[in-house]
Amino acid sequence: MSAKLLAVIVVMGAAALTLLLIRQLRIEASACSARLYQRLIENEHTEWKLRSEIAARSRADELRRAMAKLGGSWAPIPFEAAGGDQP
Amino acid sequence: MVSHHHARLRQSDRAAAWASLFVGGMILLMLLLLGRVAQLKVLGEARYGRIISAPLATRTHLARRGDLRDARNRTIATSRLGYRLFVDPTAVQDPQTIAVDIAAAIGGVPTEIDLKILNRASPRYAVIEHLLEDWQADVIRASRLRGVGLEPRLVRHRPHGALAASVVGTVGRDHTGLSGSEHVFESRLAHRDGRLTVLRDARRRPLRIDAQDTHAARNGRDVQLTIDLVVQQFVQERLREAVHRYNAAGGRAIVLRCRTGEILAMADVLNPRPRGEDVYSDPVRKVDPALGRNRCATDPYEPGSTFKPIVWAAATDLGKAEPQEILPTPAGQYHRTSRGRRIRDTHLYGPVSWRTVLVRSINSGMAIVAERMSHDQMRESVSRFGFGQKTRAGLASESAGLMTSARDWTHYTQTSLAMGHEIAVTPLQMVRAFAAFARDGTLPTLRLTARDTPADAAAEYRFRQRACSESTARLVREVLREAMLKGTGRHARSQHYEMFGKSGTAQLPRPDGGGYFQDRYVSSFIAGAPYQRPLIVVLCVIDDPQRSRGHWGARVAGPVVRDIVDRTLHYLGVQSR
Repeated sequence: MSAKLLAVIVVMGAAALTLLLIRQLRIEASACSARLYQRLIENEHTEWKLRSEIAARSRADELRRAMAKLGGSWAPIPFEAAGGDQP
Repeated sequence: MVSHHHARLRQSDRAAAWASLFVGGMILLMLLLLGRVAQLKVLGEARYGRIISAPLATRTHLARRGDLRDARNRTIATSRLGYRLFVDPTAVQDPQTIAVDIAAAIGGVPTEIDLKILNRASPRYAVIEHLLEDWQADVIRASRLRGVGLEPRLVRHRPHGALAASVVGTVGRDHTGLSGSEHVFESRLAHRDGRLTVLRDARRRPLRIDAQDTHAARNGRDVQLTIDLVVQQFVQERLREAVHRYNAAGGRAIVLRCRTGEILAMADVLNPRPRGEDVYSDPVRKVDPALGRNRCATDPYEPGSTFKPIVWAAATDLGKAEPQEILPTPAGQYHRTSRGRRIRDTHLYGPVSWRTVLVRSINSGMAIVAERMSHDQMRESVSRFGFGQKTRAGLASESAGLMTSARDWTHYTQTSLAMGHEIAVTPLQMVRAFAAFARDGTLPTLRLTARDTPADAAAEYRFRQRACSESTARLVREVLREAMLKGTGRHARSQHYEMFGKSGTAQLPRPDGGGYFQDRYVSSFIAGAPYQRPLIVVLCVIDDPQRSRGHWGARVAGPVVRDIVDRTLHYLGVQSR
């Protein structure tokens, strides 16, 4: 009798622990998801900053300076080869 | 046997006792736990109140405004994150030294920072700097000063500075378009910020996102303009150089891709001069060049002789004169019209052909043929070339120009118009009309944005407006090429590309409507190139050049157009001759 009672208590305790564990895992998954969402937002902001820096560094005068450093002679791509007068 | 049974009974009694003890202990433990929970909930200890009662944190999820890009997808304007520095005076650890601490971190004057805190509009929010540099934001974050915060905000960045400022425009503090393309395309560029609500634990770490109170941000859509920043840059530089060389009040220039109607460049320069009496001004440009009006669209001017091809084409199309017909243009001082008006020419040639009238820009010849047209014919022809109507290129505050009404149209108007006077046109109208000669006699649909779909191109083709016949357009082009070789345009001849064009030198009207200045002019030149298969039309208008330095359109504006044609066609990869 006492063995059975003990067994019931142990099983109920194990079930409760399992439920707590599942709950904890769920909370951790939510927390991970929330952190990832915030990291996505931060990465987005970093991307905006990089876009802005790339735009500043690819100005015509910057490119001309880079071309001058590379040396050689440069010529525009012929008009027809570049698509002609297509909009 | 009996002792064994008794031993077993004693063993089971002990087990039962232990089990009862265990169960009793568990029940006691649970009762204690319940009691503690009740204590926390009902009595609520103060030190746990803050943690239990405010688990949610809400903040704005910033979205990005759409980019403005040029014809080759270079970024003209883009948004990035910046930080505003603010102070909450009630949370500051030491109000006496906070200004010094901030100044030490980011630079600045402590007394000015103190003043900003003192003069704050809100009790818990004092803005110290509206926009920090990246390194300043990093320093503030690292300093962990209590009561000092960084508020993220969107910042509009224009990598090319003031290039095409009046076309691009600017945004206000709330990141909405105030002027130029930023304002015109606001509905496409506009973003919508989101909202992020997060449940936090006792250590303020995020636990989960509250889906019901969280809305995703929506970025704005990018807009691609037809402006090419490389072309814009050298047009702007060349125009500025000419304005300063001739000490002009300002200048305007447009480069149009005549077959597609795309505006490759549109420059507008003002040059305030100390001598005063400037008729052109735009004071708001001192605040921000991007707030200024785009004078290529908003400010009409008298085109002078650059308008003659329009009237010449109209008269030829109507059969009022044949190119080889000899007209009685004077060899003497002036020509007197049928109503007695005296028309003077700069040079006297005697009787010449109708073709030569345009090549040599002879006023009397234009007046003779203009008198053969009825007032309605002249007016309708000019309207067919798009004058008196907005081009609807997608620019804010565009003017339709000024044309005399039918009721007020007189003989004087008729003969004045033939010489490009008594009409005011915008540079946009002028390039569009001239482009008819570079095409098949039809007007292009001007546009500032790239086409969305091929269907747009098809629709534009179907609804083309015809200004003159194809044969007349070809003839005008031929005559204007001759003008570049033998006429006033020879000063603007290019060594690299064959052009067809016309110069114009018109007296500057008085702003009070009392006639014209006697010694002040608007010098202009318009041309298309290459002659065989025209690709671009370029117009340059120099406003009020200093007479002692030069005022003739061919000499002042002509070389600007030539240089722009040369550089643009070279850049586009068109082979030179």
